Amino acid sequence: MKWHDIWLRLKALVLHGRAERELDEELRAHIDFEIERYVCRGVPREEAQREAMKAFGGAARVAEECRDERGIRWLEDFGKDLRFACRQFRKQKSFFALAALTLALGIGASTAIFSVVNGVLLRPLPYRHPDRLVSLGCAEPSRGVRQMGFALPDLDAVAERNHSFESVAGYFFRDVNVTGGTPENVPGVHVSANLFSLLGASAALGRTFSRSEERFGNHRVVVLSDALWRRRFGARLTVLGETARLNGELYRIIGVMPPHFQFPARFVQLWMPISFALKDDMATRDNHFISAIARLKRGVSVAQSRTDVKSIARQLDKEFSENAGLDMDASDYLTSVVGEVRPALVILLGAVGVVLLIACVNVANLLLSRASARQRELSIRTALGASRGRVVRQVMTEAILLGTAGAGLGVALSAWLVQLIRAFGPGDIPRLETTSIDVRVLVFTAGSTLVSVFLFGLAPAMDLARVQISESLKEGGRSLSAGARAMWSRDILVVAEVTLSLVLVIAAGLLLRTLERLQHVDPGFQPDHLLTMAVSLPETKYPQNEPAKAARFYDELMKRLEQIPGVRVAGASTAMPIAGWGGWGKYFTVEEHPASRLADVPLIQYREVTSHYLRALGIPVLNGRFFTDGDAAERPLVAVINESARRRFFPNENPLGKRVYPGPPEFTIRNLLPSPDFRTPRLTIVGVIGDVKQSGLRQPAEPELFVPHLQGTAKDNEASSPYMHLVIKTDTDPLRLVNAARAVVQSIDPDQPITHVTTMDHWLEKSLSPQRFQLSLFGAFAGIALALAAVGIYGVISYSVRLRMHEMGIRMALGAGAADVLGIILKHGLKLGGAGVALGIALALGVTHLMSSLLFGVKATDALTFAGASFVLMLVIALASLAPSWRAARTDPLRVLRTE
Amino acid sequence: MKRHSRLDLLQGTLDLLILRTLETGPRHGWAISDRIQQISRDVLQVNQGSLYPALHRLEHRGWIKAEWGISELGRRARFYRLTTSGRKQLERETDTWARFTAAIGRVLEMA
Repeated sequence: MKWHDIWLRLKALVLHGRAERELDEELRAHIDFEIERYVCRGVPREEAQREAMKAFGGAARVAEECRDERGIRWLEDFGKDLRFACRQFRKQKSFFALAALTLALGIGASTAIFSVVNGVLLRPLPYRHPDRLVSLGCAEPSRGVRQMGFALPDLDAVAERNHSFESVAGYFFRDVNVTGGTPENVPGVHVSANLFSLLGASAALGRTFSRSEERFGNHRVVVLSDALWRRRFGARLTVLGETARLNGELYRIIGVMPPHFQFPARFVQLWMPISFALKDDMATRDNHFISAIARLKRGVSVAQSRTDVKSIARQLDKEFSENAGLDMDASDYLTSVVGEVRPALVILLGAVGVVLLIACVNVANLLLSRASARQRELSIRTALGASRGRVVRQVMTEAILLGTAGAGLGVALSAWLVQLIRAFGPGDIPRLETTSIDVRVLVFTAGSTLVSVFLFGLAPAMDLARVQISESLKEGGRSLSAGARAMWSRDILVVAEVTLSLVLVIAAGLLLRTLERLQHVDPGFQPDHLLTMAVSLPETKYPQNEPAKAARFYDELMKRLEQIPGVRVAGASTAMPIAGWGGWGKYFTVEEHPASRLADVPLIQYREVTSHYLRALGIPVLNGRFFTDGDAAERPLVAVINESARRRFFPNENPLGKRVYPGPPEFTIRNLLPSPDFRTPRLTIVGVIGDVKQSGLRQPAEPELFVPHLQGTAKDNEASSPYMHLVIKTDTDPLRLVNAARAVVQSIDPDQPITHVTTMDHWLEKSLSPQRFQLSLFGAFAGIALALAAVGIYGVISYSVRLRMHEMGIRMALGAGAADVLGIILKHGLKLGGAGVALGIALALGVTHLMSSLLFGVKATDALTFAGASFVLMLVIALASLAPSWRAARTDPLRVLRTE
Repeated sequence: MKRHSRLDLLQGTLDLLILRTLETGPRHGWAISDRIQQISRDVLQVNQGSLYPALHRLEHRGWIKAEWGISELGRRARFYRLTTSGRKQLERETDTWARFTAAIGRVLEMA
């Protein structure tokens, strides 16, 4: 039955016109019959008509009642309200446009930022039950090492001894030279065989690793990413079983992953098993480079697993002397991936929330002003019989219409903003590249729209419904109410806007100063005209037990590079400054005062460099000398330290001539020595050089120990590294010489690609890109907030001017000059602004410390920034108040007094 | 829309009368009211203002069905007829009415 009812109602609603006509006709017919009856009885026709109508009892009301039975009242009313609202807005286009635009800005910006927060922080990882994944790490807190990788034997120990995990897997990155065709360098990762099943991922083609492939000898198998398979292997289904030459060795392709699979990051293109030969140095307990991920057993929490691994660390500390001071930690995997950016993003979300709030407040004010102007109209409606609910609904409809328009525009704007952020955001925000608008975000938008509609729609509506009818309908009653309370709420709203805007402007100001400070940080070298690249020699051609090959390669390479016209100096190092690549730590002992226990042996950053490295970068020599071509393997072994190392290890003495070595004293590792007469080669310090910013401009320099690359061929010395970063000082634009450099590399080894080709200026810029990005965002928000606050002030002052026109007219008639009127109005604006600024400063003082993680070189309460921001805001307020005050001052008092 | 107070009882009764009148064949609105008036010997005068809303209500409940036709006067009129479910409803309501009046009768007799 009920469906029939609904169906008829809908039909009536849709075929509104026809239903009306039919009803009309039906009732008319009835009256005709009635008339006929009277006529039949002999009553004259006219009288008959009158009688018939009387008996019928008011056709209009009957029709109305029929309509009620027939239609969906509230929907029809809503339709009427909507049409009315549309007409209103069409009449006042600028108001509507301003309000809708304001709302769109607020909703659009906050939705865009929330999308980013959702895509980066909140979205679950694309693995099976990602909330059960845990990231494991090691640390040596006594030595000040907060985070380091696992050594392979330690990882095995965790896998065996734990009670918390279903499975444990390790992984570490390795760039791979793929040859056979165009040589290409591809980011790859070595993983435990069980990694894929731990993640719940399987190959789209072929299979992933089996346990047996971790055994050295069986290990030359590789799984490709979908992208690599398409790009380099022609998306052939027959690729399984084919071989690829990776780092000079033949690997068999056993699988291809599905298109959207990524681990641990999107740029990784191939996966190989973790596998080391029995005597391999890398597989010892003191080489910490493996990252670990584990899956929790059912019912085990992250905290419990943390306790578990910490106790395993303590056991290992006692059992193995290399593990002295070892600590381990477990944390939720998603947090470990995105943790670093979390504070910044949360701060951003806060900022954008403030912008949304300001936008809503602005629109509320706009609507309040307009609604007051309609008081007369609404009183008439009430007098004509509209219930209070009806009036409220009618006013709300405007708010709903506005809200929907604003939200629609806002969503479009946010989609565009997300694209923008993806395109220009710093590349190291994880998962940013796959962020998009999704369901959660749309819910957020809908929610924030509803809240805004509620905020600025309901309040004025409720206010108005309490209108005093008699007051507004009185003769001579002004069409604008001078309701003091209404004025108050508007003022408060504007002051709130100014307060919030000031906080944002201060935040933007602090970031601006941070960026400026960072740009002035001395990197420690001359970064201009530097071409940088990496050359990674494959293990097979340049094996570890024949370090002379790698040493000779780079030596020859440097010589030939310097012969290229346009190249001034060429140098190479195992680590790249600013970019923070390469480099590893080693134990460090000063022969004169060695540590007594392994746990007390400090660490130092170890660098192998070519002799022209210093000159290429322009690092100053502070004491002694740098390496010369004479520091080859046969001569006494030398080393150079940087200023930080000197301060740490030789605070009160001259380090020149002192003997040091990159290892612990032999007596502390007696039972671990590779051979009974093993001695870490002693190096003589021949120089002290200036500090260089190793990873970005914010981190202070760390102690560094430099050794000549060529001396890697000496007995028992660390072998010359086959993976070096090149720095080439050029006369002109560095990028012009890329091809020449590549040609030189390939003239020595035709199969050798060069990778990560760029300039040092690019690294510098990149290191600043997070700050620049934050600044642009905050700057944009601050700008929006400022504009909105200005509009708000303008609106309120205009309104107050209109209210007080009468009063101003009287004043001017009584002799006040234009300047006096201007002064009065302007003072009002400045008072509001001043209150807002004062409150804003107080609020900012309490709040800016939340962003101290983003700041550098400037305090969160920096006086200069606060003062500057306040000044800017007061200026904007003054200008915004000036316009309407000017208008007030210019009015003709007679005209004003005559109206009303 | 709810019609409160004094019309409640009459509303239910009017529905019953309309359904019964239509049992004998389709009629248009005026004819229904005329017939009721006739048979009740002018005792029951259907207020035209309640007739049409009632007809629309019954139509919405699916108990009567309407279609346009030509009336005795030669002009178009909307004819209503009883549906199957309308017949069932008529039975139910007649039954209820009978019990209702019987109960009132007993009270008047014996109280």
